[in-house]
This record gives sequence, structure tokens and C-alpha cells, in this order.
Amino acid sequence: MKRRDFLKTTALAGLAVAAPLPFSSIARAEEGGSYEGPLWITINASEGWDPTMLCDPKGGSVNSFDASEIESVGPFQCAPIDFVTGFFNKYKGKLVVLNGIDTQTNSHSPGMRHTWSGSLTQGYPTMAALMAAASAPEAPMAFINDGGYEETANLITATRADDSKLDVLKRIAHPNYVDAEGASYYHDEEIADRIQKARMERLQGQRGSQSLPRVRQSMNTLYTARLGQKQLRKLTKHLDGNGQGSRLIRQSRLTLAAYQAGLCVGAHLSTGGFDTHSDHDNKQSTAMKRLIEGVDFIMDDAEERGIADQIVIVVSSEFSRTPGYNSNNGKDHWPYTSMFLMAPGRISGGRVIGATDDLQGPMRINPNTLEVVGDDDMDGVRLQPGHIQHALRKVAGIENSSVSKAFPVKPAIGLELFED
Amino acid sequence: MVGLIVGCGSNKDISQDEPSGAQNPGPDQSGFGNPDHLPLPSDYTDTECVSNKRFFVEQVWTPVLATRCMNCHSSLGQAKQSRLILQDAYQTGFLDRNLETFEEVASYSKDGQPLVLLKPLGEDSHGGGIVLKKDSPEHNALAVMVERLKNPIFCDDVIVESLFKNVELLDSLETLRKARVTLTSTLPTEHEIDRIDLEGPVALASILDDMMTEPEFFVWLKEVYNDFFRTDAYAKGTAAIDLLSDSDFPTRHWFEDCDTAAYPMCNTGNFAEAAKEFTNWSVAQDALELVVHVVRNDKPFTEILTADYMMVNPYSARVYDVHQEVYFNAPLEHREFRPAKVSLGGADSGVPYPHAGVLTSPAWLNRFPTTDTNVNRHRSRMVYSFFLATDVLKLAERSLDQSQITAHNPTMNESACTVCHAVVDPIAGAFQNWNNNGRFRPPDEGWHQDMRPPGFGAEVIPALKASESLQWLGQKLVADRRFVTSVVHTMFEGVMGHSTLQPPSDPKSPDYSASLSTYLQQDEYLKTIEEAFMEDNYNLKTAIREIILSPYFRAKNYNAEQPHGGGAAEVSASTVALNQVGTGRLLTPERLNRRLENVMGYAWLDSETEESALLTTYRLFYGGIDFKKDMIRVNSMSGMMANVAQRMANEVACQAVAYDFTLPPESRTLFPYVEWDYAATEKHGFHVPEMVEFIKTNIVYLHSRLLGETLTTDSDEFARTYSLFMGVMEKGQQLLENELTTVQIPTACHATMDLETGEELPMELQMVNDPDYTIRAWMAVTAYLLSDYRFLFE
Repeated sequence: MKRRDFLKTTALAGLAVAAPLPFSSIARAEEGGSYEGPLWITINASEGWDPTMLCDPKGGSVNSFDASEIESVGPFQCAPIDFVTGFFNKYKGKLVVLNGIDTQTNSHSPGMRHTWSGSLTQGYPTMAALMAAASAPEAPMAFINDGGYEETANLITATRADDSKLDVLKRIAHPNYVDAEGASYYHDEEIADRIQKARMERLQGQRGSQSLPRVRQSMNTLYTARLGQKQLRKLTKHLDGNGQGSRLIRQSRLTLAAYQAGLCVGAHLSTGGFDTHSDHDNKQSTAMKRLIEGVDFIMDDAEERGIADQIVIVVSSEFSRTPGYNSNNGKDHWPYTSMFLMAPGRISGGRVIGATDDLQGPMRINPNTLEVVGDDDMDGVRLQPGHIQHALRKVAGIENSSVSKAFPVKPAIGLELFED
Repeated sequence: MVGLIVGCGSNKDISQDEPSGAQNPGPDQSGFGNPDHLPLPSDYTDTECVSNKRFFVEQVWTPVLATRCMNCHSSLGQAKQSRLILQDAYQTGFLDRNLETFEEVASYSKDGQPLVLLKPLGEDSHGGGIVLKKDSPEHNALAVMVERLKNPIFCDDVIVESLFKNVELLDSLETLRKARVTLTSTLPTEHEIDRIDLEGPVALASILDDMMTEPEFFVWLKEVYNDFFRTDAYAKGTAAIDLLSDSDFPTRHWFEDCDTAAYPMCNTGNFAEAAKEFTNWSVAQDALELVVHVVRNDKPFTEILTADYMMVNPYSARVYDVHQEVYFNAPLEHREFRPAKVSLGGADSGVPYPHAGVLTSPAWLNRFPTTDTNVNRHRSRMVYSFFLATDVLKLAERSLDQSQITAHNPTMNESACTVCHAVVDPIAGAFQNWNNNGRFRPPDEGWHQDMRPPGFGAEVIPALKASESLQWLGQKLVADRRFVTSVVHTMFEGVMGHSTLQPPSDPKSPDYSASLSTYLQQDEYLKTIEEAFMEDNYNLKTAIREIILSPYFRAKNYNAEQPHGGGAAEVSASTVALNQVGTGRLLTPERLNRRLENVMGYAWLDSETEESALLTTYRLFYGGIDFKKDMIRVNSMSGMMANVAQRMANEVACQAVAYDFTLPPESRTLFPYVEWDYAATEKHGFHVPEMVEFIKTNIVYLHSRLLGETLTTDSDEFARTYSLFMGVMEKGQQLLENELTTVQIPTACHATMDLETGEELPMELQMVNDPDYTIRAWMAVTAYLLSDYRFLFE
């Protein structure tokens, strides 16, 4: 069976990749080509961040700073924390902030699910996995995952990796090298090709005689995985072996390198430390700084790699923290959260959409103008993750794809959040 | 008044006693007909036995209660004060509970007419108005159901056979092989194969029972529960010892002041360091070792929550100061765990540790920590998940509007909150005596007054039992039928690699009926395993054996060409059910490592660290977990993982092939039928029939040895492998002739050392050169087989 036929067959059977592959993907796979669309990076501030210490500050009893200390940077209101204002000053032209998003839950898992899939219902895929499945499921590292909401809904296989082990990555990328540098081979190259050919033929034979969906799916994923094995060699060319920085930075570096190699479509990453039921300000600030440094790194590194225009980065959390402090100087769970994103070249920056009131209650927005309206405006809409998910699918141009249709998130009233 | 409201509109404020005649056709305003996708009573054949439960599910629950009534008749709905409170699919056993509720409500009548038939017609002040037409199929179904309740019908359910129609099952030997790979990562022994040959299928159960006494089985069992408990997060460094306090366990650092009388080697070498390492690991194992102890000794599995002891080995016995009371066969054997009753504050304190099996394990309690504001709710959630087969977070799938919550103390008084908290908080309270660090510290002023009192469901822990609240809870948990369900479901996932089916939650979904039917059949099937488990005094091995013998595990293939022969509903359900049978499970790094060790005799070692590469260097790359940050296994093959598997195959083949030829044939793992220089052709290219036969025999042997596959020499698969061998050898000889490769095999593959002793081999035994390219042809074949689907997957 030709590669094209195989991919079509697996797609139609809803097996290795649950959705029919776009023709462009099939062609790209046949040619061993690279993915060249946008790179979707979503980052979960795990365990519930506090947007009032970032992009939705309140002051007063909500924060330990006064309302008068809140800083304005362009259209943004920023918490008076150096790394926060520095970040907003640097990216004010690119940033879009969404405040007052109603996650409708106080629980971690449902909150993550809602934020990143647009649905509270179990089984919906995380946004980056959906983007990968819709755009280039054949790419060897189409979806990279490191924590957060990891559901792929069997649309695609997640790749887990770490750039701190460059030697190991090289050994993985080149399984026939005896050492990482390829000074000698286990099998002479022509022999290695023969082994691989025999492997693939045997697997096709096994698959051809198997009708149980679950077993066929396993065989299909193995086959698909092997199709892209050689392409992994491109990865190490784009890694410098730095291996430094927080886990978020290391994962981001790997993601950017994989994208540059044409192997990756999306990554869902995470950074923790936000579950600040005690000593809120100190712990939240530490976690927030790590998050912001990670995002800053991505933007800088993407610039250096010359792929800044291809980045879509979305940052949020499963919910937020309560408007007041508990007896341990901590803050508990609160369902109204925020999100910020940057997508130079795709989404106009310098905008704030939505708002919360003085006590972090969600405010409605006009569905046409996106302006904040009063609670008495019955046409007003409360911003929910489904709105954002739907709008981002439109940005990606996949809102009518089969995977999008399999996991619909279109709200009753759609919002043109990111249309110019 | 029963207060039954059927089909009320979601936006209408309906009081329980709204006057009769309120017209509200409910969500389906388009008519009263049976939705197309639901089975009709006429689908049942005259000879078909349709049980009450099946009829309820297919004719009452799905088309009426779930779609017309549930909106209001739920704990949060507008009819929440009525007697018809239906449970949704989130709650384990919801259909049984709903049938019971329906039965109870059906017993109420007015003027001789059951209210469940009057209310949906809009009579008797039904707040939801008219929902069903008289003589409509749905109303008739309700009437039939009411009659059936008076004369219940039970059937020997035969639908399972229908679901698995045309599914080809593994024969006994194949089942044995798969069970071996699953439970012990080994292949069947000759003795077992002989037994199957001689005794037939009847021998299988007995062989499985024997298998479940082997050490490898308990390694597997620990792994299964470790994936849930994740207590290995504390296995390294001093993480586990650090969970304990000096005041509770004054000897927790016993290795720092080693008892030279007991351990003469105290002052030698790195004893203290090694003892610390073993001690820490041992403390982290107590919950998992309790599971092993209970199963190994055929004790009732309920004991994992009721044990009044904990498991210690020679190292942790000193931590808990019970080394004088517990006898060990070997004072340094870390694998020897025995039960012990521990005291707080040292052996002489007289203050007993309030053991309640896993629930009071320090590692388990810390793995599921709490905070002052979480107040043990996370622990409660885990208890529900592990021991009551209930995912309480599913209750949170419904949306919560915090801005509408105005009640004082909402977790007690606001229905949007109580739907979860009424379930979660009593068990949270039962953990009242255990602080955030998992230490026994009863609160000075009792449990929080603004929360539900400690208990289980509606039952409150008696005041006199407050200091033993987890022991009380343990007893209640194991008496709950859901405990049995949780055990069987956990084992199903452990054996099959995927979880049991969840009931579909959206009755409007087009495949709802088929999905529900499939779910019910699996649920019914698993209930038979639950019964067997209970009847055998809660012996876990019985549950595992029955799962292994089930068609879910034994499904081998499906004959799509064969006509199904069933009705449309059955065919539809069969199609959904097919997704649940068979495994096709990717081996975890741990199991792949064991498989390699068992087949090859040694692990794949990292050349730099000399440790198992799959358990260290490549563990996370190959989808494994570290029980801390990475806690979800990647269970399908990615491109990167495929490359790891290929590297494993190449490295192991490199290490093994030439070395195997240095051994006498009877000691060889891979090549008992050939010598390294057996070439199939002589120098002029003519086949040497004798050599060809040896080579063929060894290829058949390799398929059996490495893959457990029986090939004949006229099969396609044999031909493929033979062709690979011949092709590589001939191509290699061309490369040699053209000086495009060397006579020497790669240096890394030289066989110059004894792999067991590490000593250099005598020069005449060493394997370095390969003038005919035969060693490398065998390396190619070995790598090919070690990276095969059958080796990497179950």
C-alpha cells in the first residue's frame, strides 16, 4: 500500500488519526515535507492563577496593593509589579487580553478542560491537539505536551520530550548511530533501510489481517509513527544543547526547534505553583514570574529563529483566585479568569476584551461591538471559553474541519473576537 | 402528594403544586413520537426474554425519563422537592437507582391509577403540564413498566453473545501466551503448554492461578496500583522518610546511628548510605506492599482498607521501631515485607497508630495532600475514585454560576454547591484526624462546624468513634457494593490497558441507544465478575482470572464478512462493542524492560550509566511517568517513541548477537541451531541445503523465542524474515567485495567480554570479524524482530 493510500485509509477508518486527513497533509506526508502553518502554543498556569496580579488588577481588598498603584500600559491595566509592567510595555502592541471569562467551575480538572477545550464535557481535546490534528496530523511531533490539560481524544499522539538532553535526543533521532554524533552505525545504511522496509511490510501484513478496531488502531499509530522517523533527524539541527532555564523554557525551546524543523503544529505546556491557598502573594508572584519569563523567552527565541510571525501563543488557567484573602493569607478558587494571547500577523494586538467588576464578578459584553455592557443589558453575553475556542478555530481556518465538527464548541451567540 | 413533574420547561418557574392544566410540552415540542434511533418494543422477538431492567432502560429511561423528565426531576431541577429524583449518568449504578426510584414512585396512586401514569398526562397538578399523550408509545411503555414491576421478569442475559458475534477468540494456548505477557512479561513454560495440550481449555484457569503466585505477577500488580496511588513519587532520596516526624517515629533516621550489634557491617563501606536508600524506598512502599500481601495470601481484598497493620521490611521496621517484634528471614532483604502494628512515639509509647490499611499510609496520605481550605476534599475525591468507582469531578461538569450564589455557607445551603459537597464532604470529614502532612493530629476543637459532619453518605460517624474515623470509614467503604465495582474496574484497566465504559450522558446523541446498550452489557458482564470475586471471599486473583477469561481479553479478530444475523439495534450495539474488545496495548517502559530481560536474559543498558535505558534515560521519552510531574502515560506510539524502540532493537541486537555465538549452542538464547559462519550460499553463490535448513530452523526458533509466534516455513511471515536474512547477507557481501564496509562488526558489537562476569573472553572465543556478513545478517533479523509490533505491544 502506498503511503497516500495508507493515510487515507486510516483517516477514513477513524483510527490512527480520527479525522480525515486534509489533502495537503497527505501530500506533505508523501513527500516527507514539512509543516509550514502557524505554531500554536498554549500554556496553562496550572492550579489557578490570579489575574488580579497580572492583567486584571483591582487593588483594595482584592489585592495587597492599592487601586491607585495600578499602572496603565497602553490599553492595559497592569498589576504594579515590575516584571508585569515590563512585560506589558514590551508586548503592548501584540497582546490581546481577555478578562472576565466564566469557566463555570471551581474544580481543577473541569476548569482546565473548559479553558483549553472550550467544553466542560469530558473527552474534548485540548486546543493545541485539535489544531495539530486538523492541520498536520502526520507530522512526527505534531503535538507536544507537557502537563496541563492533556486530552487528545485519540485524534493524535502526544510527544513528550525535553531539550535538556540533547545527546539523548540525537540518539533518538538517529537510532542507527552507535553514538550521538554518528561516528559509526549499528547497521550499514543500506542494511538499515532493508530492515525498515521489512518492518513496514510486516506491519502492513499484520494490519491487513486484523479487524478489531482497537488493535488496528495500535498498528496504525505504529505505522504512522514510523513514517516520520527519518524526519526527526531535522530536529537536532535546530537545538543548541542549551538545556538551561525553567521547565517551561526548556519545553518551549524544544517546541520552537521542532516547529522550525517542520515537525510540530502545536504544543500544550504548563507551569505550576499557582494553587496559592496560603501565602498567596509570594507564591503567586513567584509562579507568575516564571510564567511571564517563559512567554518572554518564546517570543524572543522565535524572533531569533525568524519564526516570530508564525507564533500563536495563548496563556490562561483553569480558573482564578477569590477576590479576598483567607485566614492563611491565601486565596481559594474562583471561576472567572483571564487569558492573554499574542499572534503577530494573525490577530491584532493592543486590545482588551471583557472585564470583571470591582469584586471580580464577570461583566457582559455586547456581542457585536465587544464593548462591556451593564448587567441589565439582556443582549449582553458573558464571555466563556467556548467563545474563545470557536474564535481561535476561525483564526486557524479549521472551524469547518471534521475534527472541529466532531467536537463542536460553537456557542449560541458567536463572538467575532479576533476579526479585524 | 408525590409531586411528580414531567417535562417542565427549563425557563419556567414551576412550583410543585402548580394548578393542573399548566401546558408545557417539554423540550420536545415537535411531537410525542418515539425518536427514530430508539428501539421499539416490536423489535423484541416473541421468544426473546426481555428483563425488567432492559425494558426499563430501552423503553422508559432512554425515551422518557432521560429526555423528558430529567431536566426537572433531578437534585438540582425545578422538581427537586418531588419524590422522583433521578440520578444522571455520572453516578455509579445510576440505572439501578433510577429503576428503584421509579418502582417506588409507581407504587403511589390516585383513584386506583398510578401517579406515574397520570402526571405525564398533565393530571393531578403536574407542574410540568402535559408531556405525553395517552396511548402514545412512551405512555404505553410506562404502563407496561408499571405492570412489569408487579411481575418482574428476569432473564439469563444472552445479549453478550450477540455483542461478540463474529468476534474470533484466542484459543487456550493463545490466551495463555497473552496472559503471560500481560501479567508476568514472560512466555508460557513448556510445562504449561503441555498441560493445555493434555488437559485442554480446562487447564487454563488452574495455570492462571499458579501464574498469580509468581514474583513477576506481584511486580505487575504493584505497577497497576502504583499508577493510581503514585506513591513511588517518594521512592528516591529521603522523600519518604521526610514525610514522617521525629515525634511520631523517633527512629526514622536509624541508619545514621547504626546498630552494630544487628548490623556488623555498619561501619563498612557505604552501608549507611545504602541503608538510607533502602529505608526510604521501603517507607514509600507500604501501601503497595499491603496490596501485594493481601493478594499473595489470598486474603479478602477488603483488607486493603481495613488492615490494622502496615507492611514493613527490615529497613522500615527500624523506622517504625518494630524490628524487635517482627521476624525477618533475612535482615538485609529489602523485598521481605511483613505486617506490623506500629506505635506513635516509639515502640514503648503504648500509643497505637490507628491503622486503616491504605487510608493511613503516610505515603498515600501525602500523595493526596490537602490544605486548610481544601479540608480533605481532595482525599475524599480520591477515595471515591479508587474505592467507590465514582468520579465526583463529573458532578462538576455542570456549569456553576458563582455570581448567583447568595446563600450563607453555600457548600451547605446552595443547591449548585451541595450537589458535589453533600457527596464529598462527609468523607473529607472522616480524614479529620490527619493533618495536611498526613500525620495523626486530631483537631483540638473537633471538625469544622460549618461543614457536613464526618461520615459516609448520610451516616454520621458516632462521637465515640471520632478518634477512629478512618477505621470506621474503611469498614463502611468495603461494605459498599461500589467498592467491589471499583476493584473489578481497576483490574479491568490493569489487564486491558483501557478503562471500563462510561455510560453515555447525552440521550439526544444519535448513538446513545447503542452506546447505552454496550455500556449495560459490559456493566452486566463485569457484575458477574464482581459476584465471582465476592463469592470467593474477595480474592483479587479471582477477578483477574475472570477478566483474562472474558471475551474482552480474548478477542483476537473480527470476521466482518460473516453476517451478524441480529436486529438493527443489536448490530449497532455490536459495532460499538467492538471498540471495547481486544487490547493492542503499548507496553510501558517498565514492562518492555521486563520483557527484554525475560527473553534476552538482560536489560537494555545505557552505555554511559549502565542502568536500564528504558527505566532511566528513555523512560519519559517512551511515554513513561515519574509519578510527580509526568503522571499520565502516553499509550500510543509517537514518532519519537518509535525511534526509541528502534534504537533499543539495534543496541540490544548489537550487544546480543555476536556474544550469543561465543556460548555453547545449548546455552544460547538466540542461535542454538546455527553457528556464526553458517552461510546459506557458498563462495560461488550456490545454496548449501544443509546450511539453509539450519538457518530456517533458527528463524522459526527466533520468532517463537522473541515473539511467541509459531511459524511454518511455508508461511509468508517466515518468507519475509528469511528473505531479510538472505538479502542482508548478500548485500553485505557485495559491500565487502566493494570495500564499502569492513570485515569487522561495529566496535560496540564486538563480543570480547563475558556479559555475566564482565571478564575478558579467551581470544579464541571473541567475535570481532564477520567475513561473510552472517553475524550482521543475524543482527538485522534480531533488530527486526525486537522492534516488531508483537514485541512492543501486547
